[in-house]
Amino acid sequence: MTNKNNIIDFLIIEDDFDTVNLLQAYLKAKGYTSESARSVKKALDILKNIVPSVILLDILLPDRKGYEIIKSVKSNQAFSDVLIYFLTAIPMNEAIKKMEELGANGVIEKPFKLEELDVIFEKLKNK
Amino acid sequence: MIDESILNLQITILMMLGTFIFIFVSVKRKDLIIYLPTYILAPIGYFFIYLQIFNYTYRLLGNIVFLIAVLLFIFAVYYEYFKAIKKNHNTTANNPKNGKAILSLSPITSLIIGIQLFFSVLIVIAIIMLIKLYFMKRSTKYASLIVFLASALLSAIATILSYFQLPGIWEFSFVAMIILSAVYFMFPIMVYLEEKLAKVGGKLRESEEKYKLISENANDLMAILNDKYEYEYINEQAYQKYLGYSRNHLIGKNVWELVHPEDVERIMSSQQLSINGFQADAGEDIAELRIKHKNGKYIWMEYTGKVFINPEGKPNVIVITRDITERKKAEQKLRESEEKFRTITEQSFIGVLIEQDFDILYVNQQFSTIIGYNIEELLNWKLPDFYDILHHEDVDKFKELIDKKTKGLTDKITNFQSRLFKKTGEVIWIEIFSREFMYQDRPANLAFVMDITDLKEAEEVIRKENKKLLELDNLRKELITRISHELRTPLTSIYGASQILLQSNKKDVIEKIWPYLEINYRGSIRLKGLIDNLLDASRLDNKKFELRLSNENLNSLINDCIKELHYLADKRHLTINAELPVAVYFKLDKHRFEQVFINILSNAIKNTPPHGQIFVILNETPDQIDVIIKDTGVGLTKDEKTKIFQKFGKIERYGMDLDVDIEGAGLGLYISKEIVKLHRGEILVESEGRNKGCTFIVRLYKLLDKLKQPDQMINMVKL
Repeated sequence: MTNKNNIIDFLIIEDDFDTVNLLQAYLKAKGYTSESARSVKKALDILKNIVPSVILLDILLPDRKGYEIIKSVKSNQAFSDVLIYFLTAIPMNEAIKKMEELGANGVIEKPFKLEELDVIFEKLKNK
Repeated sequence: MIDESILNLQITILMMLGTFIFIFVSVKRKDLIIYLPTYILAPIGYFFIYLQIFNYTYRLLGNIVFLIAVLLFIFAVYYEYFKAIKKNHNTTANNPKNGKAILSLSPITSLIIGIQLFFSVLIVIAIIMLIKLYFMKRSTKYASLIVFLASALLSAIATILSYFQLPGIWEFSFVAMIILSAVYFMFPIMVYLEEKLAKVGGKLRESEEKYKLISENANDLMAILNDKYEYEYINEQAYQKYLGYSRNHLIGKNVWELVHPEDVERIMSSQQLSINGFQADAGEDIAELRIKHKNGKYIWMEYTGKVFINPEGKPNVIVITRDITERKKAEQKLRESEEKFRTITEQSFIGVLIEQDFDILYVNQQFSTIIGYNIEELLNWKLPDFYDILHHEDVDKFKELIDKKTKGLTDKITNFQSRLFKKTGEVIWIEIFSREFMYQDRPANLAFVMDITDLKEAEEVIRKENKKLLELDNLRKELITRISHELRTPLTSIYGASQILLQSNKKDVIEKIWPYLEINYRGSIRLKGLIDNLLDASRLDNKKFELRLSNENLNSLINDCIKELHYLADKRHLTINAELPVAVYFKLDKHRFEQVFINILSNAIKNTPPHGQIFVILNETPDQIDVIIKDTGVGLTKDEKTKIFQKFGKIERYGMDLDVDIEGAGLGLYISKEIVKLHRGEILVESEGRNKGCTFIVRLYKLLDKLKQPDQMINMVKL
């Protein structure tokens, strides 16, 4: 099962290379650790060993829809505390509907203001 | 010499016989009873005369009794006569009869008397007949009276002669006596016979009268023509009524003069007509012809003619003619309506079929053309024969229809479409409308059939085109979503990177790069706004724009928007004055309303030259909430006012020397208007013209009945 020691703050599941780099640089500057995956498959591999505090999830991914990650995560007791945020360019209404349906914690619409991530930082602090 | 006493006895016996005959006759002829005293007294009188052989006084008594009998007879005849006159003036006179004086004759042998009596009876009958013939209408009684009077006179003379015992008396008395007794004897028989004859004659007259009556009053025209086709007899009344002619007009006139020339030709050429050849055994002829009315118009008539041989041995024709104008008119109408019907059905582009008890009673040409089977074939079909030519996928519909029909359930128009195999094997689409109706008192079905193959093919083409269009439309929608997604992804990194860089210390970055970084950032924001608006407009078009309603405080919502735009207003040296009450709540989509107010406010900022003023006022009434955003900017012309709420209705202000910010794609107000509409509200705009500033009012109605477009809004305001 998951090694409890392998805890990171953010898992960024996003296929755009620049966006991933940008986010990781920003998060690092804010003092958070992060990992990234550019496909669902890769993300699921990572989640075998690592428990992130937050998952930033793009919905349109090259292999499968990002929603599938949520299903796996939600079905695993070990991930019960993980915060999941959609990071997406799909229409806001659809994203919000999906968020409510799958039990994600929020949606950040691309392109986003960096300040929008502040909500997540607040939640992590309170944890 | 004849023994007078024997003669008297014989006469007495004869008279008694006459009396018996009289009694026998009068049983049936009660009216003769009045003569009964005469018939009883006469033989008695003669019996007394006979008794003169014992005492001559008897003879006197006998004469008196006989005289009384004669007087009674005369009285009776006159009684009847006057009674009849009193009753009916026209009645022909009756006549008296009878009674004779006494005959005083010498004896004679019974044989001679018998023979003489027999002949005298014949003579008397002949005399009466002659008198009757002479007077014609006079009756037997009248004739008998004359004979009796004559014989009574003879009898009286004979009596006087015998009384005075004058010469020749016997012969004279004998003749008188014979005539008298013969008349006496014959009277009742004659009366009886005459009555019988009168009865037969009366019957003849009666039936003659009847026929005359019938003929004169008949509605049919009856005429007798002679062998030259000339009128010999007409029933005037009918001729007058129907043709206007009186008897004088027609008698002796040739019948062909009245017949329409065309009909003359037609009838003349018809060899069957007996009127033509005067063949007595030709039977009856019936023909229709036109006969000229007195007024010159021809009238359609039907005649029946029959040849007969008249008493003079010449052939005549009885012609009975009848007015058939009405019938001809009705026939004409019937013909016309039948022709109409025929034209309609035969020329119809719709196939027509009549079915009864599964038999095909009628199909029109078009039906045959559609199906490809000829009419004769189809008329031999039964309804279920159509199973074989219907497409197997559609035949059930037809069977169902027949099934319903059998159960008597099809009282209305039924309609279905089906594929059908023509005789050639070609498949066509037909549409059938069928309805039950009463045909010759029994239920039948009237079906209309149309070939809708072309229609079906066109429908198929349309369906395919429609499918293609739907696919294209989906593709288009997909494309917008995809494009915006594709645009957003690089924008995300540009936008993000700009932000990170801008957040770092300006001195850490090479000075020259900084302005470009700012450009980069602003470009990203503009691009983002544009994409957002395009997406919104697209969702509004596709009715996919959804609201997330919650009860919001408009006051703080507007304040947040003003705060967000302060930076922009400051840059253009504008003052924003807000007059907002404490709290006004309304159920709305917060995010979308921010979009609306930021759009209107930023428009105000952009279109107001530096140092201008912007006012934001919130008014609440029991019915509605008004958010008024007023500026002192360049204002709107009438033309511009109508344009600004349209999609891409951006007003181009390049080169108009207006100190305004001109960025944007022209979707902002369109989207704002739609958003407010979805919140059962509206955006109003007022401007007095160029450089007179302008006022936008966002009006929200609290009551649902104030909705301007309820349908759309109810549809759209779903969570």
